[in-house]
Amino acid sequence: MADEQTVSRLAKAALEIRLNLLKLCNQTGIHIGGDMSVADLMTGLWQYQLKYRPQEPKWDLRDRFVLSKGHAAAVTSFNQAAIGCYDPEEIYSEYATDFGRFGMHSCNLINPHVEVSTGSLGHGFPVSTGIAQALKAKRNGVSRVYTVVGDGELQEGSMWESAMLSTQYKLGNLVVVVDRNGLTFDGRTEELMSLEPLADKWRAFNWNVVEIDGHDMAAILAAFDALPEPDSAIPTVIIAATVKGHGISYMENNVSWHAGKLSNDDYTKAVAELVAAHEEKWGQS
Amino acid sequence: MTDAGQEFTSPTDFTFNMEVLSSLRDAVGECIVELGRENPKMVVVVADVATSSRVNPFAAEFPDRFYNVGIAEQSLMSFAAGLAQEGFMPYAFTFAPFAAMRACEQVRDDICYNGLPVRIIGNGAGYSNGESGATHCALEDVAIFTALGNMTVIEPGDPSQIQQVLNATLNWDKPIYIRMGRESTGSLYPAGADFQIGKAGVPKDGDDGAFIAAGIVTHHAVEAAKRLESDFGARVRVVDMHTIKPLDQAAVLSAAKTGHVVAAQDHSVIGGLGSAVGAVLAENGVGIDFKILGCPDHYVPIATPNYLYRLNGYDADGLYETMRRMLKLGSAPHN
Repeated sequence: MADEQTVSRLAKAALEIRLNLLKLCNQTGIHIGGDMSVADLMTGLWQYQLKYRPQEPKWDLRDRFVLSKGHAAAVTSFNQAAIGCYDPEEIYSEYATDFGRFGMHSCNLINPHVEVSTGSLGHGFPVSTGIAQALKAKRNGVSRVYTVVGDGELQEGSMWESAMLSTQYKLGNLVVVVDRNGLTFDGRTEELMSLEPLADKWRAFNWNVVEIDGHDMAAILAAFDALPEPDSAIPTVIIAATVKGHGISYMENNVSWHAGKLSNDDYTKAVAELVAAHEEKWGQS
Repeated sequence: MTDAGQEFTSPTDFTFNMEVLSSLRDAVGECIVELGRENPKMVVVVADVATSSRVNPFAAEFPDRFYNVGIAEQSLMSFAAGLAQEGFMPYAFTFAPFAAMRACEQVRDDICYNGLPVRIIGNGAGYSNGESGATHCALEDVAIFTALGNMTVIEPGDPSQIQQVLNATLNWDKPIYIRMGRESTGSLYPAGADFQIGKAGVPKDGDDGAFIAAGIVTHHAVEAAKRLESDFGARVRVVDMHTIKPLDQAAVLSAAKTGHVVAAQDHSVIGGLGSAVGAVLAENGVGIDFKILGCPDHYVPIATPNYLYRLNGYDADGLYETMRRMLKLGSAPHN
């Protein structure tokens, strides 16, 4: 189990990720809303949970990570930078440039730390099922496949084809993390195209369902700690309740911040809010 | 002359391999088992077409390398992509229209964009499933799949050729789409003939004109060319463009030297083999007699394939007539 010190360290790491995201968003337009909602989950995943060797991205026993919500590429890249895949400065300088390694979506043609190129929704999780089955076929009993999906993405029919397949093929090495921020580009999922009862839907497909607060680092790490062994028979879905634009007053739950660029004033205000909130909860560090 | 609805057979007075094999699909089923024995990385994935694709023998021999994803073509392609990502060589089976249209984006994003060696085998290409109606016919699959980056598109026309195609797939590291249409029972080539992806065959030579075709239509073209020769002494070449992408441009330009080219296909007249041939001619500044035959730009009621081939002029009779007029040969002596 993660001790208090580890939880605190990762909460600080998540703050750093958010500050990186804001700086990038001040420089250019990014999918800031969905990056912020999944920032804590992604920090826990990349900086605590994943077995990954930055110097050996094709290491056979690594955990596989597939970004099904491909527009959360920036938060992924900054977390990869945090474990040594790149220098964060490279992200700022290459983001959305000609043949740069970083951009609005993940592309493995140019970035070896991207397992599968994604962008269009409803693809990453389905491809993950094939990877998970392949690992089983190769008798790799130690690696897991983690795929982070957006809740709006679950409106794509292909996701439910894969939900069905995963239990049929007993993909116990597969972990789906749902960023349940409740918002799509156009508005609230429950108004546009309702997903609830979401956990029951997954249970009906015979998944191991875990529900957490996606901004509670202790809960995130505990959910990872409690995952069934990779060679078990039932796939797990972690449904994480999150807030789009989390931590920034003018951005939270505001559909107009699905994507965008921050003005200097907005940037300064956002940084101040995040730092103040962190210090209030965790004290000066 | 072949009547509409009558089963087409290959001519008997050419040096063709007339060993009558089982159907195209049966041949695939048999060959897939052999390939499985040869290559342990090969896996088969189907979307509820194991029986109709004849791959149950593979499933029986290699149960750990066989996956049925149910009636879920999008899942089929993504799942196969994931397997390929981890080093397997998946052969994915579904009907051609579902491969090209239901799962098009999965093929494009998950397989082609990621550059993965998935082999897609689509049954029911062209009007071959005409009795099942338009939903089960793929008249657009070549247009769609040739437009996808990294994709190779192949159309075999008989059981012997599909075996050659499948053998060749073992050493091809790109995604491949194999469109399976109606088949002839006889082969156009002697047993053991050379086959290369991207290199057109010439089952009948000639310099007075040329048919460029693929799949079953190549067989129609051979029949037509044979009759043009016996009726008029005209020697018309048949180019078997089994690989539609990458297209054998040298074979097209060589055929163009005859001055009269008919490109025929069991596919929409838009975006298929005919369009690809036409683009090669235009880009090379070749101005010759040129005609494209294929499925019209609309959907038709349920009908048998042979009826539709005849209706649209790419059965043997139709090809004969088009070339006869192009060559200004007068009426057929015995008509």
